[in-house]
Amino acid sequence: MQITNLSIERLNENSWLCTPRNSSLKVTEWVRGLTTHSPEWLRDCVMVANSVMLVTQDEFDPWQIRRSIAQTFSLIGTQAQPIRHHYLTIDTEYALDLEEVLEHVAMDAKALYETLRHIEFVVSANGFAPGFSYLSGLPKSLHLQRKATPRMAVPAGSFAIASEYAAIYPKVSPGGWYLLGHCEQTLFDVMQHPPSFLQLGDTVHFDFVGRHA
Amino acid sequence: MLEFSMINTPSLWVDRERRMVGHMAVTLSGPLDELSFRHNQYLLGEYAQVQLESRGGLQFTVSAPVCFCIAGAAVEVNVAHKTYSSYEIIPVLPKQTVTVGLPNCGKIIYLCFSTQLSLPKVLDSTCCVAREEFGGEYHNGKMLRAPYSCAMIKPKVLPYKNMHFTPAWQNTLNPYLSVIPAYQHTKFDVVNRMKFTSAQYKISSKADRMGYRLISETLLETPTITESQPIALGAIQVPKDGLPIVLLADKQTTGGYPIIGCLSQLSITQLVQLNDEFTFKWTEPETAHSQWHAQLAHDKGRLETNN
Repeated sequence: MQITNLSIERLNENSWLCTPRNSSLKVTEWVRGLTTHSPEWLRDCVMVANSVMLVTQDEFDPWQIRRSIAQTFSLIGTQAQPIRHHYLTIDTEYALDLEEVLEHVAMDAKALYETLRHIEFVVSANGFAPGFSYLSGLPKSLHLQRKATPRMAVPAGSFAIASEYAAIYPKVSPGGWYLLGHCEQTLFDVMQHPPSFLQLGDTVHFDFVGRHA
Repeated sequence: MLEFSMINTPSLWVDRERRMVGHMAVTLSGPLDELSFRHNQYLLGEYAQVQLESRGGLQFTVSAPVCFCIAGAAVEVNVAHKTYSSYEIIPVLPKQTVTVGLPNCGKIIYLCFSTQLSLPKVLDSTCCVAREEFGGEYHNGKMLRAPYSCAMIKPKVLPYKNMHFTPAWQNTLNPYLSVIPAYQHTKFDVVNRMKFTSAQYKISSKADRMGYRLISETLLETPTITESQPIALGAIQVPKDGLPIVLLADKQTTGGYPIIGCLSQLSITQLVQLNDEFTFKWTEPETAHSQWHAQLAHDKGRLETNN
């Protein structure tokens, strides 16, 4: 089903995969609106890249659900949410993959960290694990394929890059990203409200310290 | 107090209260067999908002008169040397020991009490999530272990009742589980889509609340996908080894393996209770939706009428 700019695929009885047909539409803004003031028919919402899966309550009529999804989507641009800005410090002492990255990007460590320091990263999705945010904004020159052999255990707090994203690992987990430092910030705490430190659409600037910066 | 002196199988408190957490990469969690969970709700109403999901092998006592009920798998229940079974509202008095055996048909039971319970909640839910290491009694996602106790709040005694109820899946021989074509369904070629619906599958030993890895002599060839995608409940991932994985209540929110379709809600309840081999068949989401609501209405009618 296509409603103007939105393609809706029904994945199961209550899950709907929504993909805007026009990539310039701000899906992040839509999701922020849905999560801030969630309609009663909505049970959950997962965003990956430019697609959003909406999980709806069991009791609602599917045809009404389609109309409701389209209605909320049409509100994009009318209910802008305040964006939060974060400044985080990364210790480059723990840049376990620095040499490998420098080989790929043909620049020295100072230039690399200087480039990263000037980027305004945007939280474009949360996934993989609670508190793991995909931060977009890397220039093409820093887009690296994931490591051929992932690490079995990436230390918690590792600042890393891969593909077009940067991220901080919220806890120890396997991972194939390139580690360029360490951040002390707790990224997910169920006792906090909201539990995720970084919210969709937030911006992040990094300051790099330590002997490589 | 409700005091468990024996918990021999993975057991946890579950509810359907968690909501709007997927954007933080947190899973909704909830009961694996939602139909049996709802059976208890039809029987005990508000009291059944939180239930113990278990595979049996329990022993407990109570400090005040209360009733309990077990839905789902068929188990033998012993209260002060009297024998009961699933789908009975059973009264229990202080100092009486209740023993719940292992299922003799099906796998998962839902145990609920005619009392409110004092249980810790995380993100609005009593569900613990092992993969995410949070929630539950120990605040780390771990299952309950004996000895374990929790406070009962305003327990109420209800009259004994036997519902004489048999869940639909117990009467199904050689079951066909319904799959809604979705995600990369069309990227699997015709031959592999046919192999998928003609193969006999069994549940492997790698089965937990995150997902059930299946085994079969038939291996599927998978298409290549490069991007992660949101994962719906019941999504059937097919990794490179060609053996499907059905993703369940504690699934991850996103994933990068090709998905051939989603198991219907009704078939998820069958899958988690099954011991035998099964096959898949395709169904449309509208049909699956109608069948789910028809089953709910049927069971609600049976259980509330008997009640």
